[in-house]
Amino acid sequence: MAATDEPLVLPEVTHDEDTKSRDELEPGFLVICWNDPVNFTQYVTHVFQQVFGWPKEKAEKHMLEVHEKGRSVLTRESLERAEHYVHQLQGYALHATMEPDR
Amino acid sequence: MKFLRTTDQGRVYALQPAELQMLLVVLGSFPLLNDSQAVSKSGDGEQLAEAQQLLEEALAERRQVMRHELEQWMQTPGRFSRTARKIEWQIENDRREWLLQILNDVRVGAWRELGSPESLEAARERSDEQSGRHVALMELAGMFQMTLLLEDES
Repeated sequence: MAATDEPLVLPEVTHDEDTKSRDELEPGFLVICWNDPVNFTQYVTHVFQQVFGWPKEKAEKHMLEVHEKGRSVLTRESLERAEHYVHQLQGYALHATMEPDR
Repeated sequence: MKFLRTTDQGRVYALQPAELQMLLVVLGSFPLLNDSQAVSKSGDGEQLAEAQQLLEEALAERRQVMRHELEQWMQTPGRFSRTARKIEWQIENDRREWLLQILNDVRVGAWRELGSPESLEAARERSDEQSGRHVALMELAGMFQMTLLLEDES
């Protein structure tokens, strides 16, 4: 059967002003570790490996960032997960905070 | 403090009698941290206020539990065995992380008691008795901690 050439009528696309991105619906938190002069670099690397299960190279990369730049963003998480990591890191006496990812 | 050998349960370290005395002072100081850091530097609002309270309660409870565990652990038969020249200290594998946390609590807690100085060198030069005690605790806790960490890497 041959195709007919009837004009296509497309539905009107409207922009929903209420639509929000996933990030807006679930505001995330950055887990940040801050530099201090008292924690040994080897200890900080060790803690990152333990808490996040990272390989040594990745843990060292973040440790160096903390040491050289004063802070390192370790991960972006939901409120609950960020709280969990901050509890863990502060349990190891590292200076860690969670900051809203705006 | 020196690593001696591994056993089925963990590792054995050798301590000189003076090191044992220092270790007992360090561990006897735990917990030295008695508060938590701010949960957030930039955030505010109800959610973070709740998170701050939760963090403070959780860490305080945890330190109390760890203090109790530490007292029991130190009393375990065979924890320290004396030989003619040294004392052998046995640390089970599943207690290494726990012990590292305890030692770092004392190290960071002593540093905070010193006023969280940016320069550890300047803190070391203080001559008053209280500062001297905290500098000693910070250095000794660090020494034991590094021995455990470096053994992990070897």
